[in-house]
Amino acid sequence: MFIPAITDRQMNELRIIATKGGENANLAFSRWLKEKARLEVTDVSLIPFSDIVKTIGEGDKMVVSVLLRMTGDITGNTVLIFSEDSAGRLIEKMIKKTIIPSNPPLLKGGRGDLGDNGFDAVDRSIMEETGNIVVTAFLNSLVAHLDIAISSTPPVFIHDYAGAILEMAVMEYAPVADYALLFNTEFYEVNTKVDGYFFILPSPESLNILLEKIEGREGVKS
Amino acid sequence: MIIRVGMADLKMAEAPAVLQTTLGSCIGIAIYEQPPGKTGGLAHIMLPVNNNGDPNTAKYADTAIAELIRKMTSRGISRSSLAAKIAGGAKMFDTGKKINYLLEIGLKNAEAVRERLNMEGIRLTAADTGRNYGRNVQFDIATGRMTIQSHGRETIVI
Repeated sequence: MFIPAITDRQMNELRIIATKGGENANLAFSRWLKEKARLEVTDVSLIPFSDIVKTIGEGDKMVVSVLLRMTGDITGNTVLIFSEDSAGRLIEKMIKKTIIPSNPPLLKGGRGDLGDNGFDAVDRSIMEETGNIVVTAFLNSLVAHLDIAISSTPPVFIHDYAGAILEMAVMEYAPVADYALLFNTEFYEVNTKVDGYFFILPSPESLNILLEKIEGREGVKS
Repeated sequence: MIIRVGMADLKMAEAPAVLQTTLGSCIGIAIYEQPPGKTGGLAHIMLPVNNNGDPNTAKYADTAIAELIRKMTSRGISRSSLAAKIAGGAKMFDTGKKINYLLEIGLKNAEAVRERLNMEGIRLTAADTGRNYGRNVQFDIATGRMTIQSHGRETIVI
């Protein structure tokens, strides 16, 4: 097992920075929803790969997700995951329409026959844009607080099992890591908890850079 | 009873238990007796080869297969009666241009698992690998059947 060495102090700094990132993402998310939403970073922790799926429930749950890849000084994956119901409500809110259930029967040639059962091209792009807005706002906050440059690739929509999606997000780090740094997040729209999760998974090399930058930040302060 | 197997995890159980895991590019390797007996195991591997002697044997095709064989034979099961079924190894991002950095991992995993089983002399009786979607796998030890569900597709049994 490769367990990264993170001091309590570094972890605390990470939590502070993550909270600020969450606040910024929350503002952007609320603006996008056109209503007051709440997006809170609830925890930052190191989690073994074997336990990642447990953070959102069972691996065989079908979920809707948006994946963006971080590039620049920090590389890695960011994943936004919603339950099918929450994604459906979000989309409905955005375009005021009812979503066709994601399970078969599949309507041949109609809505739901556009590549992903139940989520058509418009739905997918709404989810991708949601991912884009939340992730970009979070990363912009990291850039502002640490002296780093990060950008992200275009968002990709995936509708599949939670376990398969999270596995894929950590897969490329498997040769050098057994743990992922997780920024766990909760969403609320008005007072309803959205069944949504936001994972930021820096690559193991980037984790070191991130920790160095945090040390540098502490140096500047003292 | 359903026993869940996580990423880089390996579990042994006895009938009537069912071993379950959810796979993307990883491979689920089920080992059982033929004809089906009381004992079976399921590993969820992430990578082809354990180069650095990582004690987490379940993470790699080579060491996970060796461990499955060891656990079966240590229960008095003859090595020659062992058989395997595999599933997974998807190209999770086979959706076009946007992200292609992970496309080959699933393929390499599937190849490594097949080679290793062959090398160890374990019969591969059925496989469902590749494609571009996740798989929810349930392995029934009592029957040796592997049930594979995928989103928007018919359930298959191998």
